[in-house]
Amino acid sequence: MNKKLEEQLAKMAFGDMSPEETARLEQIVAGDREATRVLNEYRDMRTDLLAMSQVPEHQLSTDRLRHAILNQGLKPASRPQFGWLWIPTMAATLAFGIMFLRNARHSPLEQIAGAGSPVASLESTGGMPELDRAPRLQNAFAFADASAQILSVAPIEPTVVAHPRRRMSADRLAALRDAVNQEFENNLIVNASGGVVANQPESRSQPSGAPIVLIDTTKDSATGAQKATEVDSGSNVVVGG
Amino acid sequence: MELESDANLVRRARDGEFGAFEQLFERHRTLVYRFAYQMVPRRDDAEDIVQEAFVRAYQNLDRYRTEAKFTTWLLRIVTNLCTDQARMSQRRTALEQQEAQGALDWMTIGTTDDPVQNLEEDRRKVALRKALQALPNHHRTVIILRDIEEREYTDIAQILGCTIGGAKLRVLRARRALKDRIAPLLGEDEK
Repeated sequence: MNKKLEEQLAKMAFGDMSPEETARLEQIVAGDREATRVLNEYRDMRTDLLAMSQVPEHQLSTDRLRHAILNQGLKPASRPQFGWLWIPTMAATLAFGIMFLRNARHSPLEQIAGAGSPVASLESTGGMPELDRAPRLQNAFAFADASAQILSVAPIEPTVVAHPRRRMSADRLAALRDAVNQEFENNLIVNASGGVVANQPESRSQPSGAPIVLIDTTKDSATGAQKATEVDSGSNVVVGG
Repeated sequence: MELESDANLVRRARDGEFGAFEQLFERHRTLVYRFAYQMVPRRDDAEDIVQEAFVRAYQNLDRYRTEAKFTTWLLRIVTNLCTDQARMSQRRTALEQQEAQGALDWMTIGTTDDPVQNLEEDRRKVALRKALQALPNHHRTVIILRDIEEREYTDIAQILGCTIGGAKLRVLRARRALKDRIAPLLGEDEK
């Protein structure tokens, strides 16, 4: 007998088949003695198995269970404790986020120069208490002058970096670097005593009354020396490229 | 008086009410014992398994999800315990078979008045009992769950951790294996 037919017969014997399928299979079995024998074997097996559901009485008692559990110090595993902690944790996270964003919004200097920069001291000392409330455009220049007097920032030296997508030969890169450096050096401020001062913001803090000399890139046709211009104040001088 | 649901009793037991767990024990111990006895047909072993199953259930109440039936979850624990016990007691197989034969003494010997037919039924039942105990554990489990305890395929699938189709296939294979084992036993008895 093929396995497929035997499976069908087993399903039929144990009631795992729909009435339509049962009726169809009965017609097949009716004319097959072997199939009938197998079907009867499965039916007897089902009857005997159901009879086995009766078992001898047990002697299980709650006292025995209590002894096995409580008297031996066994306890149910506690449910995860963080179930209620998530609410205050979320609240704390939200509060931190709001505080961080507020501080970041009210401290643009810290965003640019970093938390450890002297700018931070500007905020902390309350050097410009009205800055965060005043329109930025109106106070931009006043802020620039004031910060120049207070801050001592290292000179920003030009850095030439090759474009990541454009290939540039080493010679060309070096030439470009030299050109930029030259341009940078050309914007020098010379104080009255003749000393050359690099392009530093603190150079603007000259003693009051001291003239400022600007060295031009063009040379005087007569002497061959570079031309210079003397100014009273550097407030309207744009330095750098 | 309406019985309190298993889910409510579990909830109360989780909160520390041992009395609620005792109610669950009294409600389901016979079902669990019947299954355990079919798996390991010695009353002492079956009682030990039942007690251990409820101890584990108590310790792991937090893992029980109320979407599933409590009995399904409990039977899963018992199935695992029976599997472990079968591995440990292989040396006692011969003794267990003798016990299985002796266990038939308490069974009603047939319901008809025909002694010949009664004898035939007893012979079949003895052969069936032997064949059932000789089955591999995984076959015996599904035969007991489906054909003795008459659990639905959805419950069987949850107990075994498989799909409903997988449960049906396992039952089919187990029945065929059982039938193949019975035939030689009946043939030996005839000799």
